[in-house]
Amino acid sequence: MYLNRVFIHNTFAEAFNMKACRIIVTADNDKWAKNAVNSLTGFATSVIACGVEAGIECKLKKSETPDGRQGYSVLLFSMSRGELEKQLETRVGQCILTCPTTAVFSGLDGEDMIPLGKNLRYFGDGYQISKQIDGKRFWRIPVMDGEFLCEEKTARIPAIGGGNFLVLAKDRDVCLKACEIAIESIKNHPNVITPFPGGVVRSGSKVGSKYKFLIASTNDEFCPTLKTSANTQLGSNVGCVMEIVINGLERKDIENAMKTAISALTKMKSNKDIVGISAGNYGGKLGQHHFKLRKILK
Amino acid sequence: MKSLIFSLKKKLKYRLDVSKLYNCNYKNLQEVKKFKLNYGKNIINASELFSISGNVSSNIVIKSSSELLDNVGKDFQGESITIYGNVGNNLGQEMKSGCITVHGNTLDYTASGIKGGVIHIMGNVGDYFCAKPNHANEGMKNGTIYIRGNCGDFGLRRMRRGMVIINGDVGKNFCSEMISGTILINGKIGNDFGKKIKRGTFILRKKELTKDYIKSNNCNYNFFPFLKKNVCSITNNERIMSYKYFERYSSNKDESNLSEIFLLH
Repeated sequence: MYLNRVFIHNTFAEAFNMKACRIIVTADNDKWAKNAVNSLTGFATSVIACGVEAGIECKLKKSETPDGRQGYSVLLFSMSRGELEKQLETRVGQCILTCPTTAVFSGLDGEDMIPLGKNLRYFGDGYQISKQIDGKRFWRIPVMDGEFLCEEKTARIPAIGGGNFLVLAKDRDVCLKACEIAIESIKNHPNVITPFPGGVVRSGSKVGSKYKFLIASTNDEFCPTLKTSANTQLGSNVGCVMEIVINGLERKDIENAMKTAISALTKMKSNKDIVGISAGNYGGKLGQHHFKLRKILK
Repeated sequence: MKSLIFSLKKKLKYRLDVSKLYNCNYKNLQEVKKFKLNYGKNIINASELFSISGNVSSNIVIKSSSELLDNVGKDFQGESITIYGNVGNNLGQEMKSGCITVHGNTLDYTASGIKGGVIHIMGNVGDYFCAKPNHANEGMKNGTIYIRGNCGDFGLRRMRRGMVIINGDVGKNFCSEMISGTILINGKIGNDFGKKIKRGTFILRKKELTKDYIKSNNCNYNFFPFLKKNVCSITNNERIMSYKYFERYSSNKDESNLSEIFLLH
């Protein structure tokens, strides 16, 4: 199958069940809201070592935030409820509470609630004030720039992590440019994030390693430097492969984002240098969700 | 939206307790019509006093209501009750969830012991608004209430939590023994306001009430824009909390009083 003259491999992306929550971070201006969320989503690329995968979902207009200030919506994904709870509390405590002018609110409603500011309130050392507004509890914690406002709880919902596709290109410049176009096209896509730096991964991994102590190692089948020595899946004209990983709240969110991103990059001017679009999987045995590229792009 | 509509057929002679009328799981409209009500010395079918139409649902509409209708929405936990006209005592008493909207006035003990939900009253409210029920130790336990008009005396006694927005004036002995909560009063305030308060947040326009408090430093309160946006959204009125600037007063002379006042200018 070809899309805009770019070959689409007959394969699928393998994704996993995860737990997710959404928070809304606001501040006096865009600069400080961005500082806060950049800090919050730092070192949150993969659950393999970071505990949580997090990213900015979208920038919010003043009319869209609970307090009418500049804000960002952030999604956090984790493999377990406990880890999500721990990471959320730690990151909000160290990155949002500490950042001037900020406030944090829940971005999701649901039955399964996890603490957001519930324990952070103790930072107020008894001077914190509880406020019940519209059925939700908020905490006003006195800090040196005035007060920090945070919602007590946020909802945790089931989500999917690890939707992905691989861009196979003739050289690194083209590959990177294609990925940038793809990421830009889903920048404000609802309910999805691309947790890796700039949304792009260059070190795609496979499960296991020849070394017993390592749970993941380089995806040798897609390394252009190993074309002669490994079970390569690359043709002789592929000089660079990059991966875009997409986490989403629902399956259709990931499918829509994959479709938008792949369509966008195949329309780039130098698309003749894109050799193909493939996807990362583990033979279909590990992940609960399979995203078949050709089916999505039909 | 499906609604169960009650319209009073005639002017009532006696007070009518309708507390049980809305909280039953009816199977069809016939069951609603045959519901027994105590009226004066008699027990009568609901259909004798009301013309009942619409669909069986937890969205209730009461048309041509009367101030002799008591206990409307008592213990309510359905979706909504919309009332056109005045209602009597105990509106929304100890209601748990849902929304009650009154396009008229209410009598005494409105929303006493309310535990949750939202009440909008487009007219005035009588005495003992959000009062403490006889069997309870606290008044308003939670919920959101908006009153477009004025309030009588002895309102909001022993309020525990929740938010109350009053666009008009309030009578004497308001907010006594208040435990906590958030209250916005736009109009005049009667004597003996806030006696023996423990905690709470007041948004007021009357400076005299701040005389026992110490003015806080001018700084940014993140809570305030958030509160303003919520108040505007609840009341659907962008101007209800309008101000040029505000001052915060806290640390009352009475050390047991931990309340704060935001004074709007």
